[in-house]
Amino acid sequence: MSLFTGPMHYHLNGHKDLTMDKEVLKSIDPDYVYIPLVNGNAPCTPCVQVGDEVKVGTKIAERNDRFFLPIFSPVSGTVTAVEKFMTSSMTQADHLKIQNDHKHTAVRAFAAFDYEKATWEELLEFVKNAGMLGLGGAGFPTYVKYLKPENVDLFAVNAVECEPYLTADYKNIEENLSLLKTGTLALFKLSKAKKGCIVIKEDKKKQIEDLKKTFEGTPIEIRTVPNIYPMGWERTLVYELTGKRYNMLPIEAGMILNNASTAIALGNAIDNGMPITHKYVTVSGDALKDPKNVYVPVGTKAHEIIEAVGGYKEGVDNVLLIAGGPMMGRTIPNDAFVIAPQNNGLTVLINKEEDEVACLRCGRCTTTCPSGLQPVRIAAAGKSKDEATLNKLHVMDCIECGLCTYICPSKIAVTENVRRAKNFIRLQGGKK
Amino acid sequence: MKFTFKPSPNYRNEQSTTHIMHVLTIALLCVFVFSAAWYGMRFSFAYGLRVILMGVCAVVAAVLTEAIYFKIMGSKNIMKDVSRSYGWVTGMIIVLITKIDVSYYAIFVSTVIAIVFGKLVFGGFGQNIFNPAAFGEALIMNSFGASADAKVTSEVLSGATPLTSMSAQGWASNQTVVSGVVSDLGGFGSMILGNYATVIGGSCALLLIILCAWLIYMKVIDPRLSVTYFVTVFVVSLITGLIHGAGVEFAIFNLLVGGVLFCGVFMITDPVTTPVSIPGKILFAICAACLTLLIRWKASLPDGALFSILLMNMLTPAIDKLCDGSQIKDAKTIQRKVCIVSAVVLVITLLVGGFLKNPEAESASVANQETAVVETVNVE
Repeated sequence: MSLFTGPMHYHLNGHKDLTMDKEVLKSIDPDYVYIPLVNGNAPCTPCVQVGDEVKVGTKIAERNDRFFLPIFSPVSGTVTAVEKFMTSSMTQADHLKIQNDHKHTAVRAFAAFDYEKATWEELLEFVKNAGMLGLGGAGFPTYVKYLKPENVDLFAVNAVECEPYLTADYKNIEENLSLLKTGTLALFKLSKAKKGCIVIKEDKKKQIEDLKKTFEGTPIEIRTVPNIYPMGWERTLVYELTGKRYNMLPIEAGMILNNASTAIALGNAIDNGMPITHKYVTVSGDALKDPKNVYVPVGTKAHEIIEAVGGYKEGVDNVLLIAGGPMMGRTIPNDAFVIAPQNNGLTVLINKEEDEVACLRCGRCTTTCPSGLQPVRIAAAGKSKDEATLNKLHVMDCIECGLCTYICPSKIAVTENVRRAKNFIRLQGGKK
Repeated sequence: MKFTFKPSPNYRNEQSTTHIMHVLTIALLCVFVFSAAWYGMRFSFAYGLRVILMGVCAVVAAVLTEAIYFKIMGSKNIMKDVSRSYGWVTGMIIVLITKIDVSYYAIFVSTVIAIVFGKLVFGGFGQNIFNPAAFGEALIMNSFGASADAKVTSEVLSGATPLTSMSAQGWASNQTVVSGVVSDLGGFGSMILGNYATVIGGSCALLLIILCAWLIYMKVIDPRLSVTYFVTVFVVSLITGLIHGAGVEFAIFNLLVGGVLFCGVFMITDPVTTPVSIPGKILFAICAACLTLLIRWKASLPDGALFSILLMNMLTPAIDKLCDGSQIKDAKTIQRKVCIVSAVVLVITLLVGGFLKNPEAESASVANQETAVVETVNVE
């Protein structure tokens, strides 16, 4: 922050106390799971047929275009159908329907692997074949980040979890410290970085202590960052840690980052030979009777999870069901979508009408924008379809973090206006 | 269960524009209470009451005008629309930046015109180009000068005001001139406590500074505007004062008198009529401060705070355009532009300040020279 720029972030009430200290519900074992056959925008090809028997850990599909990503079965049972419905990213996609026999017969997906003795190439191959993907929300295949780790100064495991309501990463770390250690050290080796760290918000005092104990004697440092949004966003985090800005990828600033849940998943693959089958998911929000974290198989339907945690509060009849947290998560107009590997939250909020008034041009959206944009100017230029000004204002740098709508005292949906401007530029085939 | 779709984010900050306006209203009420009490005690109860009645008159004019406007526009809920248009704030500010001898009639008519032509014709709250309160007060000063209540003028504002005394000296003040004017007012202590008559809300520096701090704390006004404005006024007049040998006293005097403090807290911070970006706000405040001093020192008006804001309001769209871009990628370009423009404005103001001349002293020195010439001739 200098004289001429705002803070570019904001402290917001996380409501994390709703779920932070509660036991994780692990009894959910649905009769059917539906595995989305999609990663990012790319479809995945099933490698099992309807009628096939699968076990926990059987490879059932893979993405095989410019990236490679295998997908594994989270339950044991029978593949019964391929169904098309809406995913948590609000796109239509095929889902592989697997009938759960509730026997939990597992097959070890990967042979025993010692990341310390393995060469760098072997380790990369292992990460690739283990189907690791960015569990922070992006779902991006992990190995791709490590293909050319040149001049990496700092490797960071992102345990910031800045999205309000969500505590899934927190609970996951709390219960899996040793897996986190394995995964982090393996990724650190893969990154060829000079230094490594785990980044966590400074208010999570207890977990900071736990992490310090766990990583004692390793080159991994525990670094704390202020409790502000969007501290977990790569650009904000890289700037906080290194003071550098970058254009496309953090590696330009000498950094590689991965989410803590991803590191834990890799630890699980190395130590136990198992792929990503289950997810910690925070089920929270003011419309729910008893918010808590759940540990569910990938592919569990949202309504089954909500029923399992006790359902909606009395008298609530109109809710916003959000896949993820309330800032960046999408509201889904039905509860039939399933938990994809990269999902880490279901936030259910009572639907309240916002009392919108005219923009008073206070400029708060400008001072808090983590991308350094001027949302109010973008919205105005977007309304008048002024392509030149929109490009000058770097509209495509917006990551839709939602802070401008959050901060707006006039309760205007600023982010949505910027989103429309972005769509307009995309339709014009404008520069990125 | 109904699942509604709404675009993200679905999480909102508690502070609302209505809350901002309510806090601002409370701050303005504090100034009203002080002024009514001071006029009531210093002169008579009738003058204290007059302050309140002027306020009521302006607020009624503002709210009534907006109600009629919304009625004509076919509003379904006039009460709600009026309460979202915040016209009373304009009314209150108009009274606080005017003098106590202005007639009720002038207040009422100016407020109506300010609301209609300063705000509603542009599309209402958020769309106006000029600060409506400054617009209204400019009308009072330029069109209703003759309507001032002569009895009030003679009883309250008979003496020379600090601004007119300084203006008569051409502002080219050395230590003695400034000290003389200040001691006429009862010293800086009395000025800070507001124990003299000037614009109704502008006298008590202490109260205004406390309210400024409170409004900043409540996140109602942007400190960048107020603080930059005050600092620029202080520094520019400090340097000018030093050139003329008055220094700190001249700077404090320029900061305390007239509408500088009131405008710096309540008017320059009006977000609607000021730039949205941070560099824009800083540039706006620097330029407004320089214009305030230039108008004060060289123009025929005694005080420049009000007109500097009106003039700068016109430039707000241009400043916004100047500062368009990414605050990360274009930061250097924007900063350079802002620095260049500010530097030019500051240098001009300082040059004007440096060449300020005292008309009386000048005529005296001309007379001296003439006598000297005459004497030389005599000697020869």
